[in-house]
Amino acid sequence: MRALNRRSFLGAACAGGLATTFAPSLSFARASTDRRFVFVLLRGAMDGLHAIVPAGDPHYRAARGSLAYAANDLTRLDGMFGLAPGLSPLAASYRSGELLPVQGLAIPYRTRSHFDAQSILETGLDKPVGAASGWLNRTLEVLGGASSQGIAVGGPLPLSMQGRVPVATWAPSALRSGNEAFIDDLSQLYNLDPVLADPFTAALTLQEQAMDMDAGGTSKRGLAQFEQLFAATGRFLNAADGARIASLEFSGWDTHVGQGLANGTLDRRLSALATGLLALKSQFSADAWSKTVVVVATEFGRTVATNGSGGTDHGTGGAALLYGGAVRGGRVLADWPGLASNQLFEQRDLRPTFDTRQLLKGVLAAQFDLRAAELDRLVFPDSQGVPALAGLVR
Amino acid sequence: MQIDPRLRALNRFGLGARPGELGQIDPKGWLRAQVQPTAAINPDKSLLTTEAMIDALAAARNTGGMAQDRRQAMRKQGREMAGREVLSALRHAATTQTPFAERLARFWSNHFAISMQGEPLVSHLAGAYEREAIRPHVFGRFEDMTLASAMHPAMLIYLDQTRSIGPNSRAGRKNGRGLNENYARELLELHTLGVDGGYTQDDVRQLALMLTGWTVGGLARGRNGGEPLPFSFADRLHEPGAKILLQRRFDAAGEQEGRRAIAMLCRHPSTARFIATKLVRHFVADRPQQADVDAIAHVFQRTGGDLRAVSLALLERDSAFYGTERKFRTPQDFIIAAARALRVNDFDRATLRALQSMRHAFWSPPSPAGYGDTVQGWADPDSLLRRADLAKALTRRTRGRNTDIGAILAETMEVANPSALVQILDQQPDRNTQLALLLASPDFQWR
Repeated sequence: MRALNRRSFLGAACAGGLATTFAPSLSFARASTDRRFVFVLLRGAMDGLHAIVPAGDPHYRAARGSLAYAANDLTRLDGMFGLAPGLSPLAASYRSGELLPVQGLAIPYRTRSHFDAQSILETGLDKPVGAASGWLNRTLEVLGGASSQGIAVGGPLPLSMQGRVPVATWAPSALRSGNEAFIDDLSQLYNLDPVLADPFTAALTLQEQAMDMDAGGTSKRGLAQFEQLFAATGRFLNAADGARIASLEFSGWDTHVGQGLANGTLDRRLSALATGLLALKSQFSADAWSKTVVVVATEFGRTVATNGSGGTDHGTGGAALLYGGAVRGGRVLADWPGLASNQLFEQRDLRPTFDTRQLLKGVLAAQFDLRAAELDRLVFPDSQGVPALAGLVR
Repeated sequence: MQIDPRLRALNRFGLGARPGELGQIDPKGWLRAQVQPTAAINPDKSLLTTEAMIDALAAARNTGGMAQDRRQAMRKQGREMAGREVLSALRHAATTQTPFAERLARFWSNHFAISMQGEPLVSHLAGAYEREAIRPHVFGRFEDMTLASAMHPAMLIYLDQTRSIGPNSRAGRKNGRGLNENYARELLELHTLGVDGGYTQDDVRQLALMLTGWTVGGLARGRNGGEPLPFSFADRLHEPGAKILLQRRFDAAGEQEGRRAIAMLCRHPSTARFIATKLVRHFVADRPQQADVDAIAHVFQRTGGDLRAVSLALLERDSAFYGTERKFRTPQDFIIAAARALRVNDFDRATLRALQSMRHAFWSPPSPAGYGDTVQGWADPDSLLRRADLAKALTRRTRGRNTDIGAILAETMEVANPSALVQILDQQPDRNTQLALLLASPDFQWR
């Protein structure tokens, strides 16, 4: 009876027409899109050389020292790169062309400060000050500003999603599961409130979408969170009237100590990431998946050499992953700068060979038909000199 | 809906009614009695002054060991102090007998916002900043509050004033570094005139030049062990020569230039309008009525920014006591009001995490503009469910105490649809769930 109440409430609210801010089924000013985009931020600087491993570089073993993988731990991608053991669940996606690993990119500002670098990556600027909004929110704005289009999953609203367009938020809650009757009763009261009825309905819709696949309920801890949050995100984006741009973030990549090799600290985290990405895909219909691009990025790479604690320190050039049915993958995107000491940036870091914004612009341009002027001025202000990469998306 | 001016006094101007209070107050008299200088002070004697905090940080840093360990020890000390500050501020809000004064303290603290998301020293000093720069002036002069905020290390560091160097100052000529306009811009845009207050980019630059030299004492000594100290004026950073701000010429006068600029800005009619609009939006309606704004701006301008007079003038706005427009409680206000209704006085880390998950942690706005003040910013889907979760968690903490549900219903909230609420209340399986339902109900989210 209780569940019926909630469903009937939802039905009634929908029949009545949802017309305000947070209603998840609003259409928007620009021609409505069925393309999906997910931005996954790995906070703390994921070691790109430990994920998309340049084992074919003649200097790899000497440069990395004790953190060099054994060749047979890796899944070979091409003559240069192999996937870390933790990422091997994605090998099939690579072969089917849905995974595009990227090596040697960096934000446009040389800093080894997490805070400044994350801020730049999220605001889309070329320096750590100057914007109170993020490039994801500005993308939503260019798309027409309908609030139902964006959702931040898992935590507080990240800087990348902050801005003028209201964005939905969702996170699993320990209390919510088993509270169905309580929430049902509340919904009857909220339905009577002219202002709060719509956002409450939207909350229940999101909750319902998440619950249906067991992503709701208790918040998972540690590595299990990846699968839970990715799956929920997939569910939200797959819905015909669901969100179209989602953000997710995971911290814990700042491996200064005991980074480890196969099944070590970092590799287990990479494995959770891979499991998460597959869980995301599992929520999509074939059609929706064919219109989806996920970008996994981090604020910078880490030192090429192992430090004195079996870890790595803050570096410069890093790696990213593009994943999704719309991705033109099955290859590694890199203009490989090399690992010999004279090839490194400041004799210690992977030399960046392109700007993270080029990658992001390339994806957004293709996914949402954004014009160059919109990308150069609005989404990534003052970036006229930073061309979008072509050919990333089918 | 039946409007009760006593409930408006307790909820809209206060921090939430407690059972039993309603019958005891004369709404305007109760509020007016709170307009006195000491009412906005947090009486918690265990909290440290800025200088004592800096000493404690220095002591933690001087424990010996590697540089990285020392820095970590200092950060740990800072985080502990900041945690105590937040819990104390929350406890004070839940228990204060002068909630109108407390609301104003929170309002002004948010107006002159700093943020704990960023520079560690700012986050360590955030509580002290509010207690020293904001609270003493809540019923004082706006100009004094602006000046106190401008001179506090937390603000000087947060908005990069300490990085600003006059290009023609001794230091500027020597190392070729220059102006940082961040603080000057926010002083104009967010603290005084407002974004449409009639200043230009050149005014921003001129004000920044006037403020060069305003810095934090020990920073100049840099890494040679100098600890940051409260405000100092460093003449070698100060831009020489006269400046022109808002078409008025200011002769070269060192530190006095900044003080004179602040004095002028605080008396500017745009400032009166900007502050009045924000106050009316905070206490009366998301979309302020011109008559309300004009009345408050007039008092602000006439009294030269006497915040005692301005606060009293707010209490004369009948639209706040009898109007049908409602104000939506922010997450902080919601938690505090629920705690007051339940008489729960102590908060734990879980409460702080809940505030964080609703994006309303203490002193942590995403930008110098501070937290928003309208329903649009706070009634997002996830937050509404989180309020329901929190209501459940808070009511669990009343176990074993005799909480009068009827009194909470009758004496702490305006109820839009009493029959619907009572009917659903009656269906709840137990007292705790009934209590939680009241606090999570839409009625309780409004004030």
